[in-house]
Amino acid sequence: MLPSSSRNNSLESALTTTHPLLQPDILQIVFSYLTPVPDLCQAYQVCTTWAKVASTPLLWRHVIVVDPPTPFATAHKSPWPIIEPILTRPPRETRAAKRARLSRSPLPQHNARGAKRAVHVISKRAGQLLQTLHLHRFCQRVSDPDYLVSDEQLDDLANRCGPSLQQFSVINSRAEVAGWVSFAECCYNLKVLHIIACPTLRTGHIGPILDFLPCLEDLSLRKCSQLRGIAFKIQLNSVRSSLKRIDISMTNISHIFIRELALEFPRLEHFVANNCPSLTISCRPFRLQHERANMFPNLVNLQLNYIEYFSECWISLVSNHCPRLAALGASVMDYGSLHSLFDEQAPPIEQLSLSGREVDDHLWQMIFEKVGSTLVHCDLSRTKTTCALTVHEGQQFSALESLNLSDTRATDESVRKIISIAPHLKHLKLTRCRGVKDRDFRRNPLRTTTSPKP
Amino acid sequence: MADVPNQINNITLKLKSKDGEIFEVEKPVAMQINFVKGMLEDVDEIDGMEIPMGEVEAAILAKVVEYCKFHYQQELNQTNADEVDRWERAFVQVDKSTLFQLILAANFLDVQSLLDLTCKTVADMIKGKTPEQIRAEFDIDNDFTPEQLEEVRRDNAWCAEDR
Repeated sequence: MLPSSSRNNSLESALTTTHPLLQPDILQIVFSYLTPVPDLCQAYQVCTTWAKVASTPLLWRHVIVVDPPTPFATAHKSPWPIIEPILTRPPRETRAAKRARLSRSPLPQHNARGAKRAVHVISKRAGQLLQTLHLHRFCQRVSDPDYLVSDEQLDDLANRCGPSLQQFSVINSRAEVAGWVSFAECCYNLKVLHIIACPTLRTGHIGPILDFLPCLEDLSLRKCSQLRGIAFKIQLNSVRSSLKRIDISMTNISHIFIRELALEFPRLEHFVANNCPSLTISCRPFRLQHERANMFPNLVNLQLNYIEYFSECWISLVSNHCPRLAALGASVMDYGSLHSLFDEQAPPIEQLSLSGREVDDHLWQMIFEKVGSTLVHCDLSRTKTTCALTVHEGQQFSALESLNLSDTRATDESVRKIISIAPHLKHLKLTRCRGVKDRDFRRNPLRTTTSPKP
Repeated sequence: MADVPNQINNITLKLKSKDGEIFEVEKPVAMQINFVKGMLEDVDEIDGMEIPMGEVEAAILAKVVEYCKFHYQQELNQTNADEVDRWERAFVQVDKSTLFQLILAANFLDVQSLLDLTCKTVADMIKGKTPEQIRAEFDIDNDFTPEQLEEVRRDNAWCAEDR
């Protein structure tokens, strides 16, 4: 709640202005329920009182623009349609004075649009109170430089907001490494930093940026195509103990050494590296068996979907070094690896995605026996399993809530059997399962079982 | 609404609206109105005293009292959040001028939760509208000079740009 300064002081002040929406202290409360973009921006243009209140820095602390925020923003494609009668009022500033003022301020920025304008306006309005800035929607037009955050915008942000900024997320940025480093130097309280699809960042640049961010917990470098070679070269003088989440999906990183990862990020909780075409995860130069156990004591989420090559050691990584692992993604992994993974003592996994060709009936049975009791969400789409299970007395999917079996060889019987042993199942997907003959059942498997046809 | 259970401070207060109507309200209910609370701090003998509620008219004061009663009951009975939400949503289903008067009354009488509720209702009405529509909706005049209008538009138009 926003503090209001002059409430209740006298009868007149509260009730002489008959329109409540022109009283600043009431407006402040109203605006505190609006999102900065786009609602507060729209409110800003209503009248001078609204503009004044809407520029209160406190209201601009969290700016998150990821998707089109309201239907209006997408439906309203025409350029600004509002031409309206303007009340006559003496201008506060003459045109000449204004031109002189504008010529002193840097013009290109003033005319910029998209992300450039957004960063300029938001950093100016929020100032030292800005905590969250997620700017995806205004960075989408890659062909227009005004939509791409560059060094200049990072500078603006760092200078105006600096230490207050805790979460920053941007895509398609064209800032150079020097810009990022000086940005990190000023915004040393950053907890979340998502630099997505930034083609200027190289592997060697990440270390110097992280050096300035002692509180960073969440780092995403998705789609940064120039990240290649060996990630996380160990520098023992800089153990990044704060980092809990790392996402390097869709980069060209080719090597991750498990031991170095463990030493450099001792508190790692989430590690995501989906769709890295050239990635190899290996334990060289040391053998994993010789390492101390539980190298990743906190790791709960490991996503390695759609990676072509796995070395053997990672099975031992999952089964011996991640005691708290609850979510595992290993789509398209080869049969041998999967087999040996579920042959060993697998951790109590709750979320599993294994889409891809490799899973067959035998493996599915193994998964059921090893982790069936803990599994909550499971994705087996595009596998070649018929989903048939041999169920012994007392065995069941006691926690399973969602199961994706689309594009598998599942049959009516096997699916019904699964439903019968999964009491908490809420979502079951069976699209493109040719083996399921009953069409109604395929479309809505859970409803037909709860109320079977007479 | 059920009767307020007997309590030690079960004293009735008389709240007097602008047009002279008297509302008899149990003290714990009325104490949610900070304006009343502040007034009672200076007074020793409060039983039967008429408290003038300034410019608040009877119809609006009735709503305020209704709100306070509900909230007092809700705290006593630990009503679940869904039900409170439903009640509050029904409570603010009023025409715009009543809503505005409620805001003014809540602000003047300093009933913070009612002020929040009514302001949130207004905020919901603002969401997704263009400045033009907002002005029409709330009957607000555009008092920008042409230059100012140009500037605020340039400063804010980016928010509505599509992909």
